[in-house]
Amino acid sequence: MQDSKKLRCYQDIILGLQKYWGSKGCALLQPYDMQMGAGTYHPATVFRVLGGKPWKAAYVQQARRPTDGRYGENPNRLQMHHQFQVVIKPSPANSQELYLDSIKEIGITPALHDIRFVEDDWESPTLGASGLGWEVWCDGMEISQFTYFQQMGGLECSPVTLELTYGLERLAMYVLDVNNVYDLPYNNSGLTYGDVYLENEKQMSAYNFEHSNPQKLFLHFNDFEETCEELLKKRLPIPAYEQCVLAANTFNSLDARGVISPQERQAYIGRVRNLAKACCETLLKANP
Amino acid sequence: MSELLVELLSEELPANVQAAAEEQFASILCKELSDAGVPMGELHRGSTPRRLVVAIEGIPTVLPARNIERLGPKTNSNEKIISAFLKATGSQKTNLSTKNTSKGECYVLNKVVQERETKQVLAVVIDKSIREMSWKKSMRWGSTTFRWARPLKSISVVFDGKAVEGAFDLGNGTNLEYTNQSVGHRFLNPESFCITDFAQYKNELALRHVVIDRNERKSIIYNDAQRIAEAQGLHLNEDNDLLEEVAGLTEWPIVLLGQFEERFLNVPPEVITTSMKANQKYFSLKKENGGLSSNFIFAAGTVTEDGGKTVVVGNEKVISARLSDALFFWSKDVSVPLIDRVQNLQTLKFHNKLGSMYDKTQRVAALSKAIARKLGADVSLVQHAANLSKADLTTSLVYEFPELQGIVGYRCALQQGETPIVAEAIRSHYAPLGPSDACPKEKTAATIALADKIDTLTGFFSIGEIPSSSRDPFSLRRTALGMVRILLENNIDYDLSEGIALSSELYSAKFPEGIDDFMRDRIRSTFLERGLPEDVISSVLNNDKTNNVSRLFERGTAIREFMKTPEGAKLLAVATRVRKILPKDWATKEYATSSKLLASDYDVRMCGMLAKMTLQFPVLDYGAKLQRLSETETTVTEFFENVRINDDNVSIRENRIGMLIWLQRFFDDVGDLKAIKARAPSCDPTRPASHSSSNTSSLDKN
Repeated sequence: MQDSKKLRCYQDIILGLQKYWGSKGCALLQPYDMQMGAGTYHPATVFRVLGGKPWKAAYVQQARRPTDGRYGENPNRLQMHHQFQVVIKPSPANSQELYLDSIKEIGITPALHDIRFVEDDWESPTLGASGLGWEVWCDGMEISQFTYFQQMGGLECSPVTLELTYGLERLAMYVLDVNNVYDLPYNNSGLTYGDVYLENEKQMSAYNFEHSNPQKLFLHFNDFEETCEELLKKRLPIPAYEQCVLAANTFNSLDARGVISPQERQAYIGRVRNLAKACCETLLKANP
Repeated sequence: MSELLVELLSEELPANVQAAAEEQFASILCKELSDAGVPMGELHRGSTPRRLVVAIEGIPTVLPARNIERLGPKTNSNEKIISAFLKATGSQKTNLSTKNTSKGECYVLNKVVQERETKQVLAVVIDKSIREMSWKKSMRWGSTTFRWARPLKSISVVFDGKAVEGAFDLGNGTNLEYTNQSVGHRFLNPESFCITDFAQYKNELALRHVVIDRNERKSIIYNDAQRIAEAQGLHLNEDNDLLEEVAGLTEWPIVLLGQFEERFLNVPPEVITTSMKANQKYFSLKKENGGLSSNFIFAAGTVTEDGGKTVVVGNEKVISARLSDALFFWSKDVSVPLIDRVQNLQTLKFHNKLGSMYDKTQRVAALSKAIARKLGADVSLVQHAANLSKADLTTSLVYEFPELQGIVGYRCALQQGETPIVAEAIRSHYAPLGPSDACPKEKTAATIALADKIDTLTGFFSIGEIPSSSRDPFSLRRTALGMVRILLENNIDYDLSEGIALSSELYSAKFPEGIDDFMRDRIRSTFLERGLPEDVISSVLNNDKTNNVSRLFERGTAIREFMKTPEGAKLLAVATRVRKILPKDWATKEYATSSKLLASDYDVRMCGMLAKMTLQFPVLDYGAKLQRLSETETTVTEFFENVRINDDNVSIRENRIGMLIWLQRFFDDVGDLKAIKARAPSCDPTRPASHSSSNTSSLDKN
């Protein structure tokens, strides 16, 4: 593909996006050092979309989806993939143009590609969050989520934050024309994505599906929930939220073991949501 | 006369709201203009993912002075009402005049609106029209407070070829100034241009890669797709919903052909077409022999430098990834026999209060068995198919594509050596899924389809989940209508109430309250749709409390047909005469009859006729029964004209009444004839049924 000449590897894409969004005034943050299901869970999104203060940040976040693990045998599915996340509050008037320029930076130009904004209203029942927007299609493939945040932790977001989420592996496979994620060149020195993550996928799939200890996980879930509530009483929403993230991730691990029945599922999601809501409310009370 | 054009440019609106929004905006704008006293000529409108546009011709630039009359309360209303009107209109009693209306004499307030320039009212009208728009889902953006389906970017207002001044307040101190500019295609022609009128706007847009007319976009996509398919020797699988959606995803459709690897054709065709449609918005194609082609057609939204080459390659890659997932799922799914999946249904909820899908399967199988016995279907075959009917709910493909329930089971069954009858029953037992969906015709499938629906309806009614006019989350109306159709279209002789009673037992519940009325409403509406007049339906339903739909319909049809003949009127007349003369207590009180009490020849003749009918009736069909009843007219008329029913002798009186009750029961057997309205007078020139004076007088005749 002619248009992606300058990009030769996975990390070029991350660097390209960082450079672009850095130049637009975004603080380039680091991944949060905890397991979470999506970049949205990073406090740089959850907490910063609340309240009236402007905010601009961009970061990579590992997204853990235990049920998507395939022991490294499926070319597209991973129990841990990477998201590049951008949040800008208030959402700029030229949000779509900024986004389109960002993908030009990584070699996706409308001169060659069919780029479309296709309705996709986003909702996170565990965070009590929702927004309206699109999935962005490039030649029929979803390359990003584009969301105008309306709610977080059940609270109205005002002003509205723009959230952009790029699925890095998928984007890289498309731009670099690679059909198996493990064959992606990680850098320009011959290292592949498989060299870095294949063994990790195998072992983590084995853990998620076979060797995690559901009894312990159930206990952990309760502990995290309890600790979160205690911390909230002490008006410490930030560490409380970490406990909420741990609880959410524990729930995902339990779900991967298939030990949560459909009715219980709703109940667990509700418990995490209650924690997330309480964290958001407490934080907002302290810093309106 | 001049033209007004309003264009609302926004970020991409969801495909499925555009057509309705276009219509809504046009009708609101017209209503607001008309309320403001603006005369209007021809209307033009259009919509794309990014714009809604309405243009109205024939608007004068100056609005002449006019008188607005506002009707107030009646002049004899109490003072409070009158003073409220004065307050609301800011007027004095001395300003009011009076007017005679159909309600009586009312106060009227006349207000003169001075002549003014049209453009003075436009800004207000347009502002109001935009705010009146309602969306199923709307949002805020940036720091503003106004809600729209997606961020509203610009408002163009052009009247008489010129920009109209004004601004739209988005809240929090941000205004969108009205402009007379628009832009072309997002990528191909982002530059702006001036609008003068709709014709020029449409042309400028066409030059800038935007087709503003939805229908035009639809025909471009459709015609190009047909042309491309034909060139390949293939047939397009037409799909109007998809066409509508695709036309809402692009301002400039470029129809392209792609292909996936042949090996994916091992996946059931329904899975491929569903994945292509639901996820990718592709049209599928058929080969000459009817089989699915590995080619597909889609509409891109832009012209690219390499003539769409990269776009096609990209789309082919995406569908390949999806189909390799589907192929993986399919080979996994088909390797597990359906029968082994049945136990797993225990982990799948039917409804929180109604147990698992396994429980449902058990109930449906039991109910199917009972119905099969009634219908003379193969009981063991029905039971086997019923047992497998929900097994595919545990497959990965149905998990990915819930709309493929039944179809995946059908494909697995065929592959796993089940008979075509069993496979078909698995596939079609969900049908009919709506008025346009076909009913299962084969006995096994129809039996299970019926049992499944009875189980669903009874279950939800038993836990009080009864649909209201605005809420029917479990589609119980559709379920009930499906039941009625299955019985009717297969002419199945079965009383639904029997099925519901049995189903209630299987739930260990009472016969659910309200379910009978609910069914009767569905039966009524189905019959109406199938050409039975309302009065005929009532006549049938009033007298027959069973829900044996086929028999009810048969009877209704016979009555309808009979009422078209001159005998119909005769029948109604005689039935009315008999009914009017019966004492109030006829249905409950015993009136003894005896051949010894036949006091006249007329009594004898009457009794003879009734005795004969008693023998004949059981073997007659409804049409013949109606005919026979109409033929009683001569005997009955003679009887009424020559005997006094209210004879002084109680026994003779009771005997006569008894005979009339006997006759009444024959009438009741065909229907509640008093519910039937007399047909057009040409059918019955002699005696309209409602004309009853002659009947009552016969009571007093000797």
